Amino acid sequence: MIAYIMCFMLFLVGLYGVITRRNLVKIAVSLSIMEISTFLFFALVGYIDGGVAPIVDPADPAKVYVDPLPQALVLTAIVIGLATTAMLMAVIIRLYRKYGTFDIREIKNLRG
Amino acid sequence: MNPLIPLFVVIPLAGAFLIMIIGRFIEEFNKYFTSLVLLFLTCISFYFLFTTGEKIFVYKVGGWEPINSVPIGIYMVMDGFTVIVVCIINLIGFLSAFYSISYIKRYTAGNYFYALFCLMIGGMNGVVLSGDLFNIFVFLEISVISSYALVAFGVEK
Repeated sequence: MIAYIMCFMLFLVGLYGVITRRNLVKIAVSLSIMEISTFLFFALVGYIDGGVAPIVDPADPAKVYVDPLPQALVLTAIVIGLATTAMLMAVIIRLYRKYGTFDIREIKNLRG
Repeated sequence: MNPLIPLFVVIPLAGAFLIMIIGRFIEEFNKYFTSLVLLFLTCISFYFLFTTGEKIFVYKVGGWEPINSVPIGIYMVMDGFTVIVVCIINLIGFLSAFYSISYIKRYTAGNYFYALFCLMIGGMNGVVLSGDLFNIFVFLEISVISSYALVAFGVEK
């Protein structure tokens, strides 16, 4: 249970960064922290104490197997998160070339 | 096992890569190829619209049959609701690709626009057609990342 609460606290750390920072790169780093806290939560949900890899052994039916789906999902999500972060950085570089600053207060045209 | 179902994902994905490769050598290839791809997809989606009815087509990618009625592998499902949404996506995609032929002239990097557009259509078709949450997530991210790029796209000449 304490591990889940730690995941949620990591998520809150990321959320705090997104809300309070003014620098676009720091916002991107905080978004990555939020993302990774979710991955950690998924991996922890799939964790079984003493479980082994799910290669079914008919000789020993008492074995506890780990569900491979959360791990596969997290592995996929890490790769997709990398692509999202790269995309975010590309957009930030474009904004820097246009406005010459990372400060979101200076980027007036984005205000709705 | 209807072999036409995976074409909704495969053709736009392959088209995106072909546009990036062949579009470098042949001018104007990207515009007409994208419209052609989406016209073809619209045709097969309307073919499904008139033939599906109450039936449910399931395509098992790689031929992985269920073991003890637990599904294994990637399944693509085409039913009455899916076919309507696929029709809408491909028809609107075809119309906007057709419109963008004259619209994109005043922007740079047409190849990137059409490749991202094809990727987005392929991802959206995948979201609608996939049979499990895992693949919905993967295809959603494909379409969402390419639409992020499309939102930030465009330096006027």
